[in-house]
Amino acid sequence: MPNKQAKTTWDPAQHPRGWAAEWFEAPETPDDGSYRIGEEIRDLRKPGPKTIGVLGKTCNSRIVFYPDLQAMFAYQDDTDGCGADQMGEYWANEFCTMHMLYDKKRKAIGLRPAFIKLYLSSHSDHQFRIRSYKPVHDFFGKEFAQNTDFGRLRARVEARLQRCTSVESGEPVFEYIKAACNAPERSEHVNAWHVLGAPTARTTKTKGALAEAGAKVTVSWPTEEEVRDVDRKRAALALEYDPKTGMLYQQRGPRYTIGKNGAKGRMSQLDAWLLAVLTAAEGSMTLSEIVEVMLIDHPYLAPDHQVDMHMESLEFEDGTMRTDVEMSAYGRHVPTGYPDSTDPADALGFYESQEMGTREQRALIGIIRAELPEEAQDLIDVHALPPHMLRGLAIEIRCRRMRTTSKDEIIEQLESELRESMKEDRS
Amino acid sequence: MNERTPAQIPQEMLDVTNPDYRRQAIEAGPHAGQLWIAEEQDRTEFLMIVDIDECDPRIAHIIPMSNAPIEQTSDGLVIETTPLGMPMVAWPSLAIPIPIRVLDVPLGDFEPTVVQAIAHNEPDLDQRVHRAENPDDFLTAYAQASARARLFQHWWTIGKHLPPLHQEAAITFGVSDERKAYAQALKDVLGLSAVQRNAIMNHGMRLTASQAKKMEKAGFASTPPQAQEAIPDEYLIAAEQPRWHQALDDMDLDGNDVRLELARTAAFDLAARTSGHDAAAVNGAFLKAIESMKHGQ
Repeated sequence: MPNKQAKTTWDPAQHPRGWAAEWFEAPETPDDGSYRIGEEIRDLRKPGPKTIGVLGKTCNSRIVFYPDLQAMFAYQDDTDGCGADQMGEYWANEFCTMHMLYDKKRKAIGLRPAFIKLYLSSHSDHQFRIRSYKPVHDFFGKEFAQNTDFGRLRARVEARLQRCTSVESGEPVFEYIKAACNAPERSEHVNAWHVLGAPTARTTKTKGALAEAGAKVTVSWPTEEEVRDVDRKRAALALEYDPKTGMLYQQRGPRYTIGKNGAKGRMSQLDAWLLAVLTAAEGSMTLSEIVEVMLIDHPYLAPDHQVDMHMESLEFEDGTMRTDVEMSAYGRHVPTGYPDSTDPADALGFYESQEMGTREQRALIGIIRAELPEEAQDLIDVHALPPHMLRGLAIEIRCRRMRTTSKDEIIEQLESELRESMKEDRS
Repeated sequence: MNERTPAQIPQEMLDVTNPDYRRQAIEAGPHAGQLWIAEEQDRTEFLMIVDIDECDPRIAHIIPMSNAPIEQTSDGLVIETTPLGMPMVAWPSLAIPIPIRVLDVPLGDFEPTVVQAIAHNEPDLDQRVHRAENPDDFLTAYAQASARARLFQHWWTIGKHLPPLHQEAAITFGVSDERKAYAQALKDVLGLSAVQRNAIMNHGMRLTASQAKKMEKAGFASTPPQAQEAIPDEYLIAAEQPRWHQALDDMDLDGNDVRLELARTAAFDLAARTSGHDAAAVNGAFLKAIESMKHGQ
């Protein structure tokens, strides 16, 4: 039954803060089944004030996990004196519409698929609001990783940690682990890195001390001017959008170099810096912590980022708890909430029950597990994929690792490994 | 021609979100070649129906889809022309049978040649269908594909536990024989009258201790075998239709299958009627059953 009482006593359109105020201040009203947001989108053929108001509220509640994105909004030219509502609405617009630079002006190029899906799948305003949290969160994760200095730097450092191998043995130098991270009355695990063979417990050192240890390594850091120059060039880059396939192509941006590459028998300067910092840590650190140590002496690498001198904990400064478990995979899309199968026998899955694929699937999973960086293994639920897709994934990982686009050789080698592995499985 | 800017929703999407289209499509039920959004516990996914199962019309054979081209992986297909008026990705290798009860929003029909190209994983069959490619961030794309595959497998397991069809045939030759034998024994062994037999068989009257002993000697239990109700297939099938999805979505009957309860209530209601069992009567019985289930919560 529609809740008429609530409607007559509460009319968000009459509120000075507009539609967004409804869920800021109104008491939680039951779902009355009306989908005024949907009607608005149909009428305007795009999101209007109701839609943006509601999504703005969602954005405000999610952006607290991404201070770098908050800073990005705060440093824009025309945002002086803007309150939380405006920031929420700015991000809500970004969530709904994709933009690109065209003649130095931002131009809308299309509606974002996640917004379209949210609109189409909802039946009421209430449902729209409830279901908006996850896509907005994922959107912020991607924005953070791709469009903030800190996010991009983080991705670079992560790639180095993954790739760095010992000059003598060729073995990986760093290892990705899950380290216990305890806060009062709560204990969790965070994704962390440590030097292979060294203790895995969380470091007890301060970021300042680790920065000093890092400073002893000679690294030719980029100058502030070089970094700014790259930023300027990047800002001028155009996105290419193909309306036929819906794909957005970003031109490869220019990059500054951090440290000199390693010559024969010597580590690269950045690898040496990472090793010095993680060795001094005598324990494990999260990726964000490692990058923040770097920023202590070189803040211009990510000027908008506020370095938290404390090591990552489960508490914010103001004492509120981080409630999302995704915080440890900061900035990366993590599919959460795999559905639980009620019957454990069913958990085997549809494809595994198809007898044909089982042995091949096992062999492919083995190969992928060996190739995939450990932190990516959490992301991909390999057991849910049929052999055909696993094969595509295995080939792609190999091609990227070997840095080749000629797949034939890779495919041939993979097939022979598969035959070998399946033979062993049979025996 | 209605021109639009790129940041506006296309005409095709306006057509399929039209309330008249939606009402008509939901009442007609799902069919092959249609695009739907499936939903369960606020998790939603696009899909294309390849076919409705021949043996069990409560199951649809589907191919998972996405409206986000960035999520494509190399074994998928990119479809240029879709009922939404924007490109989509399909994964024929993730085809799976799922129960139609999770279908929520009908979104129009693909063109027949596009359906063929997707269903056969054969982009050559239609020039608007292309083989997909792995994007730069392929790990995220595969992560999303695997999460999607897992969700569809979860729905597949729901489909495996639907109440069995053809209950009437099974029960005629199964349990009801046992009940017949028990009723006969009440007459032969205990010599009870028809009224007494009815009270014991159908109204829960208990045997006395000596009667129970006699029955035990003759190889019978002290209580009659449970009467099993047989719900006709048409009710079991009708209760699974997407048209009830929204009404039954949030209903919780202490873990019991809401749709089985709906089929049972509607069948029971209609059996008591003398006014005819045509489609309108069946529909009316379902609506009434949903109302009574809502109030019974």
